[in-house]
Amino acid sequence: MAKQGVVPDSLSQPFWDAANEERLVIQYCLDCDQLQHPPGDTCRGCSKGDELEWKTVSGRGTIYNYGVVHDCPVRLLQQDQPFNLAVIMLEEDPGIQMFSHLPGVPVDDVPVGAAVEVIFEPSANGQLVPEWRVVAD
Amino acid sequence: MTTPIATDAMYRNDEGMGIWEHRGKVAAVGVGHAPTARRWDGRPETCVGAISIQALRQAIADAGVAPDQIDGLVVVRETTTGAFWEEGKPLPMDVIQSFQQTDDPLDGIAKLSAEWLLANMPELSNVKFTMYGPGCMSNALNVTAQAVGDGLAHTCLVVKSWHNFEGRYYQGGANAGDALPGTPAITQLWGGPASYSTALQFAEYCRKYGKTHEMMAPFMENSRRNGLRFPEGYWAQHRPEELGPEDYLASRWIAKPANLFDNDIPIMMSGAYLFSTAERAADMKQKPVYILNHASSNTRPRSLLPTLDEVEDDTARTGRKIYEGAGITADDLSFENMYDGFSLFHQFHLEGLGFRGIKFGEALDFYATDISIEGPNPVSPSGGNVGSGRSRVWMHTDCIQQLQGRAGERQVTGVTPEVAVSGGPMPLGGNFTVWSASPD
Amino acid sequence: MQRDTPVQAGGGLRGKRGYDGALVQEEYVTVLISFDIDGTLEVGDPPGPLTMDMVRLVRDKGFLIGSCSDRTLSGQRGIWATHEIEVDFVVSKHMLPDVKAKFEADTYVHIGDREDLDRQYALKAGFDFLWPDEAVAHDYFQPAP
Repeated sequence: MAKQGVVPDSLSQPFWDAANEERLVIQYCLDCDQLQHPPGDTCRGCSKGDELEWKTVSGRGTIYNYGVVHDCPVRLLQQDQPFNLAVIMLEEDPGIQMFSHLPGVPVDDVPVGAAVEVIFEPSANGQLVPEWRVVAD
Repeated sequence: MTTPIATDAMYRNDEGMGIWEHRGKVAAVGVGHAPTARRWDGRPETCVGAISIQALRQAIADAGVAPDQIDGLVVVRETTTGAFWEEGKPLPMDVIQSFQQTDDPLDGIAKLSAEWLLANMPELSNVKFTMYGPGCMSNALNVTAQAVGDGLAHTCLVVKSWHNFEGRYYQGGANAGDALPGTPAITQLWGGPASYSTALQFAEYCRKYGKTHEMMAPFMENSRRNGLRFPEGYWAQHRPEELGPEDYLASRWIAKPANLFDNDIPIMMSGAYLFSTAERAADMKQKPVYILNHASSNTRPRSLLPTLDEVEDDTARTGRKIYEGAGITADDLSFENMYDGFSLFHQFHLEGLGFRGIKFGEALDFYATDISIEGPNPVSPSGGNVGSGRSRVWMHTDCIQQLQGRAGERQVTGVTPEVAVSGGPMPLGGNFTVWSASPD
Repeated sequence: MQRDTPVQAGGGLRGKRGYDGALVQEEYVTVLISFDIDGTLEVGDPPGPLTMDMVRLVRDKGFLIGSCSDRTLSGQRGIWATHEIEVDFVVSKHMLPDVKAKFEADTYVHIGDREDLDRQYALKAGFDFLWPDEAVAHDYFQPAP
């Protein structure tokens, strides 16, 4: 699916730079010993900003939940309707979620709980974007 | 005078705060609504500012108060249904020139400031206190109740209005572009519509408790039925169409398991109330409806979307805060009017309240019982947004009118209307008000 | 109101030409028209350019007709009943494939005012598509000679 391009900003630059290197990084608070996603200027746990860094994660997870989008507000995605939109839980911390269109999974036939691994797909302007595919048994 | 946004001190976010210090000392009296419309037709007299004035004047007249007796005004500044004035689109100068304009040319058209209202309502000559309650009427009501209780105003208006322009909502702006800034891209690249998060919570709920989307049909039918008895509402005014199970279940998906009717219809509307101290309210034209408590939730999900566990933890906490500050229990509720836009989260509010003793996972079965206004367990007698269109206001108007005994065809008959609760919007992040026919 | 079965499935005569282009015979053509309501029909919100008399005209020509709208099914039926027009189907916006499966016709046309909800749905379902303004000028809605 052709996603919109991405123009990294100062907060998200490390996330997108890592994606272009096919690595998944998540913001991490040293003080709280907690991952946080989406990223913020400060930690949502302790409100500190200077204890935040980016941590490379394994790129493994499981499918937590999903819906099927039939009426998408994003113009570029409308041609692909209906499509799966799943939420992935990271292996390192199931409380951390990421979205996925689950490429290769038939619409509305999503194996909730299945293991997935990150892949990287180009968006409209070439920026690589993390996506997730089901890991074969 | 620059109007401030309400600070945390105006809200009751925590458990253990005890009975609200102003319990029974603040009352709602007047109600005002402007006529609804599907979209703005471009005329000055129907812009969001104009309909706000109309609603406010109606609330003043309804309460029977002289405008110069009003000393407070609480406003929800945001008015969009998801429709924005496109960048570069010519300004509607005929509309702008019809009013006393602030520095912002879209004030009164695509947003609403307290300054704009006061400039265009010269009769409000003694307003000394103004404040913004962000987002929703539910929020602004908490601010208004606290402000009157704290003595910041003794007779205070509160207004929430919505504008809706041409086009499909949320389809313009960044969603129509070829690229997104990096931080919003992390959450928005995948294109989930507004109801997606709620749809997922509902999907998890159904998996956990063995329920189905079809089980929502009685709630939807009941809500529209009640809405068609709400003369201020969109469906009653423009398209008096019922929403039977066949209608509901044949509708197309937006984000399965949320279908079209699980999403409320965006409209032009304005609703306003007049609040006062209990003492002053006693002499006004309508019967006072006393505020027993207001409570808020400012909980945020750990990551992208709230999980069902997060939702259930927070709605239960909200229920406890509501009852604690009001000094009541679930058994005291005559009916409930929690938010429903999106319909698929109404059961979370209901279960968090423990309305009629229902527990988590039981609300959809409860919908199959008699939840009508004639029965012993009225659910959403206002009909909410399902029944009258997107406003986040109907539930509050209904609580006031039911307790005043002037809800007309919607008046509950299976219970005596004594104590009610309304509020929202979301299960995580909402504001709630407890209303009572008596101050005690 | 909804017709139980097509009163007269049809639409008009279509010329069939031989290898040299000469007219060799005429055959009966069945046309099915699906009407969106809001922004398309005069009774819509907003009103569209197609009048209910135009709908009656194609019905009287023997076309299969019905509505395909985001309005409730009961609401759609109510509109047709109010205007005393018998239709062959009322469906929700996403159900054009069901209409095509149920009714046999030579030409399937959907008329609507939305790019995504009308045109794209129609083309995906194998329908021809007309914008309301195009439809008004189409031969379908001209009185039979």
